[in-house]
Amino acid sequence: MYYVRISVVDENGVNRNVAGRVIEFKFDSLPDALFAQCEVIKTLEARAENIKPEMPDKDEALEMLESDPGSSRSEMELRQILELAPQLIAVYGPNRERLYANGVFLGYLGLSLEEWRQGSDRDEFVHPDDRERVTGHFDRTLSSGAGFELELRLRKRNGSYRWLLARYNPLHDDQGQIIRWYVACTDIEDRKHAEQALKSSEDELRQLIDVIPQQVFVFGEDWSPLFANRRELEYTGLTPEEAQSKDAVARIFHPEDLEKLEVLRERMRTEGASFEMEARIRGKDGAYRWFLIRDNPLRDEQGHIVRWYGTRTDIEERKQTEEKLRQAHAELARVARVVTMGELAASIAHEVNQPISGMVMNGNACLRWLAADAPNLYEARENARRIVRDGKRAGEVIARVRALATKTATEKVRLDMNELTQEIIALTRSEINKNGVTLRTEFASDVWPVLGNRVELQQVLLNLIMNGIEAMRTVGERPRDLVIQTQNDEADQVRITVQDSGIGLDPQSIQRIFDAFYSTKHGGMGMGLSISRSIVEHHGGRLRTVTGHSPGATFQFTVPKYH
Amino acid sequence: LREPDAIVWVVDDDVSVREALGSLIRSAGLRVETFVSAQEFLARTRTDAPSCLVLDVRLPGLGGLDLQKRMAELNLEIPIVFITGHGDVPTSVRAMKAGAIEFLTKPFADKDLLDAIQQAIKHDRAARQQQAEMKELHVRYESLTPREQEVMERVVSGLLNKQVAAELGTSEFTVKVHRGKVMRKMRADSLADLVRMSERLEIRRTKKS
Repeated sequence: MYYVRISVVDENGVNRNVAGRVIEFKFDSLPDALFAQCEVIKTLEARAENIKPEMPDKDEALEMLESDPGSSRSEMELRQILELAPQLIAVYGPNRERLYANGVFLGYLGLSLEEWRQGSDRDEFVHPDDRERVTGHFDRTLSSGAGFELELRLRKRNGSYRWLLARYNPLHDDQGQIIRWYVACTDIEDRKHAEQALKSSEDELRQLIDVIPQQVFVFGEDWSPLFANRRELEYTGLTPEEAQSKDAVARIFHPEDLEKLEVLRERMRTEGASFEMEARIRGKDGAYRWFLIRDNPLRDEQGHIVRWYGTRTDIEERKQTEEKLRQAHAELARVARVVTMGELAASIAHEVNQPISGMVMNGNACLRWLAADAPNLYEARENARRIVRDGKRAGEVIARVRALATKTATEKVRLDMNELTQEIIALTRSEINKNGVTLRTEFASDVWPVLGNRVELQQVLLNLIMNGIEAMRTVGERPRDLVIQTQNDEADQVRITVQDSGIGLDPQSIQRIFDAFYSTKHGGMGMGLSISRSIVEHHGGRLRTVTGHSPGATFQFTVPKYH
Repeated sequence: LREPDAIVWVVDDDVSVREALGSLIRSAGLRVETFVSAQEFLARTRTDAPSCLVLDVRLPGLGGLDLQKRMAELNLEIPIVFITGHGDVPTSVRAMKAGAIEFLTKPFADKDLLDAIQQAIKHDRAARQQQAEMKELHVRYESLTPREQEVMERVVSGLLNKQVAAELGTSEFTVKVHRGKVMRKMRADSLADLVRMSERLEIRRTKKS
């Protein structure tokens, strides 16, 4: 009989206690199995002391090892309970020797308890990819002595793997040695699938957000940036940190647009409405491009704004196309203007000629007054004063003509429609007289200022006046009256009306008069009204004919009030 | 009886031209009155004096040529000097045919204008003179009795006293007496003078039926 005390030490002779405790048994002879159970330890040394003659045989010794905690009644009860648990439950020895598994576990593996116990590979059922992780956990537990939890895949009887959440709880003896591992596993395969599905749909969404040709943002209630998609980072060249900094917009927005954005954002924060604006944003190459910015608020149940979702769409090409179109249109308008001016050339020459004639005559008269025996200085001075006045007048006519003939600035400014109309009348006055037309103006003295392009609006008036004169050319039996009226209307617009007593509009052609290249005039280009209408619409107003007035035609256009 | 001073009427809607014309014409020592429109000119009572109208062709409302026509209708015989910004040939032809003195294109030499005005005034003076004479002749003629007028018609057509007496069924002596009264009342120095007067008065012998 041998009395055997087994302890495990490493190569330095330190008790590693991997097996948990010192085991003492009596053996007739030393069983190999005892050593086999300590195989996982790299260097191990078993020391035998007080070898006793009454050594049990190997099987007996193993049986004793397995039933070490003792088969008590309470343990039987516990096993019953474990059989009822829906989880996979197993009990391992300190070295993860298989001691016990409940029916659920065995059913999962498709093994009997005996079969399971006979397996020697501890990681036999664990998915190869998870094995290292499991061992790592055990290793760490050696020092901490605490239980742990991990997710692993375990092979089922049919060879497939399912995800389990395994909880390992150690049982310690009085010396703090681990003597048992209790393991409970919950099947989390379905949850894993759901998680996986969620993750992949999230990934998909992220992919989608990164792939759409827009920049996508999430902002906090206070417009602090929370998220920006990859496209934004690629375009601006900002790092994710920079993109999430509060001054991100200030770094990339065009200064003029930034101001507008900030005003708008502040307003929308209080109004809580979604908004749209166009702004220039600088790319990483330093060049600005136009973007359409849209932001929508997300509210909580109380209606408070918690997030802003925003997109920015590159509209540079659209803007450029628009700009080209606008330029082409402006050029067309200019050509049409020059054509109209050509028709007006004689009248304009007359308008310049009048003050020049006056100057020549005043000059001659002045010389005569001075040459008299008693020079009349009063008259001479009056002549000189008129020469100065008439010279200015000629200069003004020339300046107006030049303004109408040259390429115009696109900017819109605050304008007085009465003054603007008066200037055009000054240019066309001679044309009006030549055709025996009587002009009457009815200007509202309190007419609102408008926002517009001086030359373009003058062109509209010029067209309408010239059309009116033209329409009265063949009228003989009734007076040729041209009435130009300015009014403030109900819709915060200034309305300009040009009414003639001419041949009127043919009901057949009334639908087409605003079409390009449609003309009722002999030799007309057919662009006047078409261009006029687009100019007015570009200003946010309307150009239309007013029916009911007879004889003759009435054209009316509106321009929004300047705010 | 002295003729009143000549006056020049100016009608032009353009203030530069109107004022300059006024000063220029005044500097030549003439009286000037200016009007903005043809209507204004027609509406105003004008001084009865030798005059001239300086008229812009292109006026708002009633144009220069229209005014010329209207004046002819109203027997308003004032010589017209037209001025225009652009002298188109058809307009100037129309104006001249209708009796205009001159058609000037702005800007013109001051001398051209003043010469035209002087010529127009001279023309008007002559016309007024002639008009006055005609008026006087009519007064004299109207002072004749019907018998004297009958005698005058026949005498100026070259009939002898005897022939006149035969036509009128009276004596040669009576005709002689009437003839003497005609010569005196008409203030004719000679038969040739009386013939000239009758030509101006467009007196034709009316044959008795």
